[in-house]
Amino acid sequence: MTVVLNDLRPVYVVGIGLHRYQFASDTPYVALGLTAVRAALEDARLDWPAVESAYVGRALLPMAAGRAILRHLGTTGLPIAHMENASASGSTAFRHACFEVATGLCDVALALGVDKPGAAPAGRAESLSGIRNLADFAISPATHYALLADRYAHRHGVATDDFALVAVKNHRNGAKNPFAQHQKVRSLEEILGGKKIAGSFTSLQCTPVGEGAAAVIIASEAAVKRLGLDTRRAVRVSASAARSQRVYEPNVPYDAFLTAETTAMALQQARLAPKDLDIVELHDAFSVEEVEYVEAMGLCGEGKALSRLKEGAFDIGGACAVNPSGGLIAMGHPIGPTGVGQVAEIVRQLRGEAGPRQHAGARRGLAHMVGVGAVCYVHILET
Amino acid sequence: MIKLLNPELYEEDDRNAVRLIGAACPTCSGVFFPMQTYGCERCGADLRPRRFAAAGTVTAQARVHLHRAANPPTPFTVVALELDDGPVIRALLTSDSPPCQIGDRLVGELVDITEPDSEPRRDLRFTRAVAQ
Repeated sequence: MTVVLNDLRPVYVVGIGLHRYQFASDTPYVALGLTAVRAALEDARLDWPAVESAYVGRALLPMAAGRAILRHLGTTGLPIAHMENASASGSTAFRHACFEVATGLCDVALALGVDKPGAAPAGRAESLSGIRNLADFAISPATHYALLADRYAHRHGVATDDFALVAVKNHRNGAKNPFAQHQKVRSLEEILGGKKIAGSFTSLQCTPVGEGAAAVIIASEAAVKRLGLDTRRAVRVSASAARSQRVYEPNVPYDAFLTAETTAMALQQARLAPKDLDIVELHDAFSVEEVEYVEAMGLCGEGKALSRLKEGAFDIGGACAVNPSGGLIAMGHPIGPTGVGQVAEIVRQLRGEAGPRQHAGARRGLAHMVGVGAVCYVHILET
Repeated sequence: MIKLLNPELYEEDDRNAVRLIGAACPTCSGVFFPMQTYGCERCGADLRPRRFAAAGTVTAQARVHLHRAANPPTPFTVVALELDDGPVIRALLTSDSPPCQIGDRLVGELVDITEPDSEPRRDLRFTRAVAQ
């Protein structure tokens, strides 16, 4: 018989910290990572030696980056595991840190996401698989999602320019987030008038490339009590689900299908329905993704996302605040940190500490990441 | 005769028709493109080569304006098409093809390409089929 996270002992996020996501700079990755971890320790009011295990999510940095960062907090001999899972690297680190605490292998664990473009040769291992294809050399992620946007617009009879409304909302949210890479309100005209990338996408509908770090500290209930942590600021992780892509029938929108499958598993674990969610942080590297994923998650009916978006349903203060951090489009997507940063935003919202971007009364949040379209991770957090 | 750029992916038969070199699974009956010898994605069985006609229907298209690599030069159009024989593939539209949209018929043709510091080759592109 298998168990899920919710069957094990409860785990809580007790500390969060970030280094602002930013365009590539001279800042060493060690400084990025230490800023985030020290902020998380301070937020938890916890001393570093209390952390018993560390998971480090990164996709662009070379091997063993975590040790080079964490040794500057004082070497305690804790185990360090590095996780690479494309865009979902940070989410994967978080999941495994949660499970290590939930199973009782340790009481306090760190999940750190850190990355820096250009530090090592980047690329997809699939390009080295020995299997050639007709046009892989010409299909970037933007083009992949532009194809999905074309199909969605055709299937539902919507204007492709309407996808830019996602970017309007997320840039508006990012403008209120001091950790966001883009912090500027953008009009629909500005977004549609930007540099053309692929299909209907312009540059401000696409996530920027950048660097940054995010850290969260996970603790058991026993550790929260033993270490005298603030129980009112501890946020429970009530579900963790992960799936990978299968072979689908031709023309099935498989990115959305994978999200639907994984989200349904997480909601079942948490015994929640989509309508119970107050906050969703999802993988919106390209504007059409938010449209497809909110439908796949069940936040609205199929083909209804754009009309619900226009009604304000996914705004801060709407039925469910989607990407209040600014999402990948505005907050940024430094790869390794992104999934951990989503958790940090949800914790901030559920504590009521999100300041000008606070979604009133937020009690339940869902974090969603996909990695090169092939893996999907979903976590649910509750107060 | 100019050589093919990717002879493991396509070939030209005696009547100059282009055929894609795909795969079929004898166990689960799945059909795939391209052929590979690692195992069926659906069930893990050994695949067998199967030729597919280079013809199908557009399921999505995107005009690309910004591309990191110099090849192919922008703008160019990427299409997803469902082959008449089943698999869905992604390919480039010929530079002189009329614009296409979802539901249009496409046929494959071999076109001459020249890349810097390499000898001329022929590569597979698709073009919108002219109604007969």
